[in-house]
Amino acid sequence: MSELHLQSLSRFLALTLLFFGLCISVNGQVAFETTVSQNPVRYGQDIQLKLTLKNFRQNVETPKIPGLQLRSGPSTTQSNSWVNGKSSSEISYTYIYAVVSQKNITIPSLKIRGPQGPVASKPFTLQVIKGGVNQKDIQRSNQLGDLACVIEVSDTDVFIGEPIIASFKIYNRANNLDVREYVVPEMPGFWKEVVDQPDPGWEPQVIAGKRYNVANVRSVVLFPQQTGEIVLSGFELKGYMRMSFFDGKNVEAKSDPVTIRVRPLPEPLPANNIGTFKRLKAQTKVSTNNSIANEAITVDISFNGEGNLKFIQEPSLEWPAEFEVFDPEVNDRINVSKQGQSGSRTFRYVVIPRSPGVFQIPNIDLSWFSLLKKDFQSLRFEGPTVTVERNEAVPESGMSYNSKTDVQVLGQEIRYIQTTWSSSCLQRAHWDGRNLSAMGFLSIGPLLFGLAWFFRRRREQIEQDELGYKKKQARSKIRGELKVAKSYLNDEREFFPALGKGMESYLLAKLGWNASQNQRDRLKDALEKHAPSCVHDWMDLLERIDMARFAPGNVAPPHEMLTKASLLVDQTEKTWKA
Amino acid sequence: MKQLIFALIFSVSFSSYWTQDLSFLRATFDSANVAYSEGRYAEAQAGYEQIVATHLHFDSEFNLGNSFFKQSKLGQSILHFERAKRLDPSNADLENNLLLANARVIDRIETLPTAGIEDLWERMLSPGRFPLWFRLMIGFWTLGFVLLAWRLWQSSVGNRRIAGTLGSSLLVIAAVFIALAYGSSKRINSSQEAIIMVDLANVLSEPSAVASTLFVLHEGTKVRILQKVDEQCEIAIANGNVGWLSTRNLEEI
Repeated sequence: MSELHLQSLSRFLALTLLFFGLCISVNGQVAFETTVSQNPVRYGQDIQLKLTLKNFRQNVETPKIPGLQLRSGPSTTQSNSWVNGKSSSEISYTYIYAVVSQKNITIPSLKIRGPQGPVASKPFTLQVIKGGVNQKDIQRSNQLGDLACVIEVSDTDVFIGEPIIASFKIYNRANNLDVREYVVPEMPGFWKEVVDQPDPGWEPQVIAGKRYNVANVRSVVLFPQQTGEIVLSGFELKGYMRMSFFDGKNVEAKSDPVTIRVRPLPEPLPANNIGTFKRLKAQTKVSTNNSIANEAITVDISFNGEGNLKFIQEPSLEWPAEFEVFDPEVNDRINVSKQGQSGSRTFRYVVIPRSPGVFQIPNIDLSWFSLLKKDFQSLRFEGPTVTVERNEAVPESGMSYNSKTDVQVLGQEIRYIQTTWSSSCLQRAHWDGRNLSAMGFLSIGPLLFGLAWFFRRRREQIEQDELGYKKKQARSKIRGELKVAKSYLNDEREFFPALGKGMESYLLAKLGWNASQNQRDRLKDALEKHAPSCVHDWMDLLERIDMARFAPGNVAPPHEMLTKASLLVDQTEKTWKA
Repeated sequence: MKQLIFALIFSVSFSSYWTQDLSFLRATFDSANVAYSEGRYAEAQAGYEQIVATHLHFDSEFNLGNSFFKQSKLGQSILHFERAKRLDPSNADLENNLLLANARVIDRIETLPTAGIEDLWERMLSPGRFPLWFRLMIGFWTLGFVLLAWRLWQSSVGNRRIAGTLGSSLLVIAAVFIALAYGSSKRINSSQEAIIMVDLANVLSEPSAVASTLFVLHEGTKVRILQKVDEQCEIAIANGNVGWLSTRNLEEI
């Protein structure tokens, strides 16, 4: 193709485009329209305001309309059409406004410069319906602010044991919040079951026209265990709000406390009450109704329903005495969700009937509090019957078993009085004088010791004085001998030898002699030296005694001799010279 | 000789009086037991009170505690159980009854932890132990001196050594028993413990009319008396709290 041809073709295309362009501009009618996405609207609602420029182009300014608050915009759309040789174009600018007036809003006539002069839109009234947005939402939106931790509970006025769903949520209006730490509080007074949920993520939510990113960090099913008012608080958050790539700030939020009023169950409370449930059913199932002795069967007692099934305790059952019953195995199929707990709890008993017969599995007689009917419901039904045949394999006279249980203490009482007079009985007065008597008894020992010491000391002193000792010995000796002699006063044959022996012993002791030195001449010499005034009397007395011994009948009577001897001893004692 | 005869007559007359007195007490005790077994607790109480007014008798104190317990007079019951405990600290029946009575006391007081030796010491020095310590004290003391006296009259070195060592050892042991007897004797006069006898007693910060209430005690609670000022006494409870209380609110054990 030649260059000439190419140039002519490009000119043709340019002219054609110019022609179409002129056709558009000339064929379409210029218009400017204002429309809203919804009319009437509710207070607080978000609406779209669309400015449409038909068949011309022009930049528009964001309209400021009393009663509407700009949220976002504009977003622009453009369309061209060619129909039956007529062309048309349309450019739309869409804004999102929030309705912030509770009265009707007038959308004014908006003016814009068109190709042939100013173009104006038609004014119209935007009707605002009263009570549009929930007043609570507005209040809540105001309370939440830009960042908030909120504990949301399903109910704040419940019965004891009634489940409450508590959700711990973070409300955040910014898109660039980095949650670094949050604390979910302990909740004393509740039995807690955490609802399994995926990792928390931000989900958009509009409250009173404000868009929030909401993260539910934890959901818990709470079962109140005490009555009264229980306050939930302490849900806290620490995070970092990024303002720009280089800049940011630490932010904190803390939840407002939530008070939950827990009411007691109505009185009277049945003794066999097992808890509070929305609904509850129970059934008893046995593995077989026909068994043989000493062969185990299983008995399942199941509870199905909604409520805190984990609180159901092993029912108190009166098994036949012939049954050996083992502790039950507890099987739970309980689902914890944001609707609470639901499912079943089964107590599986392994039972061995030890003897043949027809036995009834224990009846169930329980009651529970229905949250729907707000009253106690009874759960009563008869247990199934089990027929136990004789076990031929085991002789009946074989071993038999008795199930053992701990001895139950049914009550406590003080022990009985002391019936016998067993203990010592002391007079209080006697008791009062105990210290004096103690002193008296304690003094006995030292007194004995003191006496012993005194006498010992005295003996030592006496033993040191030889002469005095001899003298004393002599005196004590003669006293003893005279006493002996006196006892023989009526028997002269015994008297005189005793008297003679005593008198001689006295003198020997006085002189410190032994028996071999007992000679009359030496005695006389010694007496002349020590007691010269008594020599004659002594010699005379000793001679008379000798006479009486060997030639009785010619001497004085014994008592006279005894008196004389005593007087002589006294005189000798007085006149003795050392 | 005359003196000996006089002492003999006196002791015979005294012992006959004592025997008469004892038989009367036993009769009272038996009739009170019958009243108790028939459920006439007030009558039984009167009988036992007649005995304990003039005599120290464990069985009567124990039974009196039981009689008051049956009449739901908790304070009096604990008081007499405690008095019985002073006479026989290791009686198992008493321990059980006192435990049950104390279980009914409103005040729950956490006892401060004590070393076990302190409890042992308290048991050893309880007034009920006094007769034992007294007899052992007199026995060891007198025997010790007798041995030392005997030693004086011994000429054999071996005998003197045995007598001296044994006598001195007995005196040392006797000194321990003297200390124990003295300690338990002191507790007879004043146990330094009391029981709250009124339903509710305010324990004040000081013994004056303008004092503030520190805590409140209830009937049956045992307190330790620290000091007395006029009609007020300073008390301490088992957890260590101290305050002042009117003496009208309590009775000493």
